[in-house]
Amino acid sequence: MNNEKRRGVSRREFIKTAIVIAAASLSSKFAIDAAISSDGGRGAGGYYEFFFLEDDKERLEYYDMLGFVIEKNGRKCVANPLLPDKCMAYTKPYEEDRFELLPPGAREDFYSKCVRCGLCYFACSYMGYYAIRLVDERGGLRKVGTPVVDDVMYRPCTLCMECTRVCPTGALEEVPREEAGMGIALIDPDLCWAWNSGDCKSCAKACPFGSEVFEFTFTEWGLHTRVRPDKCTGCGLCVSACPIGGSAIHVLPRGVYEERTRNYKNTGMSYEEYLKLIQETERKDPFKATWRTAINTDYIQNVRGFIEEKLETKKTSSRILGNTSSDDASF
Amino acid sequence: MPPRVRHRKFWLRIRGIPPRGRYTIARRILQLIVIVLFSTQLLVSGSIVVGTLASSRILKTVPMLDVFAWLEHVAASRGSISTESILAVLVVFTLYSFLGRAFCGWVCPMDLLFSIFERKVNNPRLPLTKPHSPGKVEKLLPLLAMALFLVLSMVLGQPFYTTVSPIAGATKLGSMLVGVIYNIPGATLGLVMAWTTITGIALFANIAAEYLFGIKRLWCRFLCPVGAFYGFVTNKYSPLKVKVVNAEKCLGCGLCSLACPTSIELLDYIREKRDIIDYRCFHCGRCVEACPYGVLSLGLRIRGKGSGT
Repeated sequence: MNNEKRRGVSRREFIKTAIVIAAASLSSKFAIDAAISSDGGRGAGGYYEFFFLEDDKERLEYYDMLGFVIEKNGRKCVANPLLPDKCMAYTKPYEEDRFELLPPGAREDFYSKCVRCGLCYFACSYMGYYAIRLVDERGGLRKVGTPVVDDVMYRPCTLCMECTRVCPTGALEEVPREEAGMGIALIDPDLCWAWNSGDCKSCAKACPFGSEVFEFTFTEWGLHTRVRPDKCTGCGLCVSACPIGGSAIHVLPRGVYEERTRNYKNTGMSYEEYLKLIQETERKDPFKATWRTAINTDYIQNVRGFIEEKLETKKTSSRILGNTSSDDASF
Repeated sequence: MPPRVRHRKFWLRIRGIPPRGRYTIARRILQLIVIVLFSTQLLVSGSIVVGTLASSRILKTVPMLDVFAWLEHVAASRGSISTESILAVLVVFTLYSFLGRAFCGWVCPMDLLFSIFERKVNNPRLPLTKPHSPGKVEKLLPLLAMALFLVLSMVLGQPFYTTVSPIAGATKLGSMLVGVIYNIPGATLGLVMAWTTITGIALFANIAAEYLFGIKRLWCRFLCPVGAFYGFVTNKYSPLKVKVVNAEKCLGCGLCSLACPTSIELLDYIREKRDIIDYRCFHCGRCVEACPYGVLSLGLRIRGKGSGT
């Protein structure tokens, strides 16, 4: 009898503690989620890096002589020739500027329709593309277990649409490849080789839709390339094709794309206006345009580097190092 | 001293997990096959089955979607459902209309985990849940859990239980572990952590309830809505059930009820010569193995009334 009584009480206590623990864990989860979302991620200007000159005496002297150096927050940086009171701003390398894109065919009601079965991840990996991966517990209760395409540099989506075919609930609708709508590619005209007196087209060659998505303007200042935002599917095949280190073309989710193009590089003008300013300067003031190209080329070649050059440098340096070390050993 | 039961077949004498017999061995083999198929799908078995226990594709064609996941999907998306999801859920629903709650005993990887850490029946220190017929409150608890999960899905706008389900979580954990070991891109330690957390919470709750308070199968009986759906809906009419075949041989020893993982009072059924139609029964066949006189048998019977009548 006593035993029975004690058992009953302890069972009740167990249920009580279980409820308390569950409530505490749930509330902490929501609190963490709220804290993460209220942080707002990157602040204004967090998308860009500037051409700072402090640790480079020679270049500082050179640009100071030309009158292109201004101070920003107590640090010296190269001014934008088109906008003399602004620093030269570049989109960060892809590793620091990657986003979680939703797989093809996802619409606004994706999170309410997705049952988190992971079938799209397994289907994508079974096909051998490994583009889709699942969100782990850092995504919070809302996103844990849902699929994302978050590494288009190394594992881009090939738009095979297998994930939309296996999805059991229609969270990923089966749509034509042209309407995948994962994101929109955005070219940084200050990093793009084609916007700086070059002739590249690598992104357009890699794009599965080619000239349907890309528009070209042929001038003596290079092959100016643009992405049509209404046609781009956001598959990310262009990102790894870009020869600039860290890629000049990035795929952004729709919301980020709109936010970024509205006030492009914190200049107060939209992306289209910025491109127009560049083209107008090229027509009317070749001197300024030349300096713009020169500064950008300096940055691309000496700070970012080209992918091929980087690979070659690594190879040659390792070979040289190997030789020297063997020489050392022989001495 | 109880009489020693002599089995004719030597493999029925395998020691270890409590009651061991052909049904238990068959169940363990099936459960292991399921978890191994799901775990190694990116290495070898992808052409047989792809997905998880929430939703999968058999032979890359037959879609399957868990019934409760579908219900939550309907609640979360407020009725905007695709025809394919209905097709996928009908496949599963038809299957378990024949098999009843056999999913819990024969497929679910959590049953395997719970059984590994199960307390022995003859442990004298704390009494386990005694065999009983469920009261109204006990019957209400899983229904309440189901309702709670459906309401939470509707409020949060996402399938709640399916997100944190240890059933799908265990299969995902298996495939992620294999993925981490074989360096498959996309399988990260963070994902392993996530599914370990989800599976571990269920396992820990179940073990704590069993070892500290003597409650058998807390998760399966009170919390899991997947099993509750099969128990309350398909178990009512499914042809697969534990039948009472030789009621006159029963001595009333109660071994079957003791062996039952969900504490069904089988003696009542045997006395009334009714087949076991209980929402808790998941056709594991432990009672059949435990009975030394062959009173019970696991099999198909369309009419669910009784053996003698």
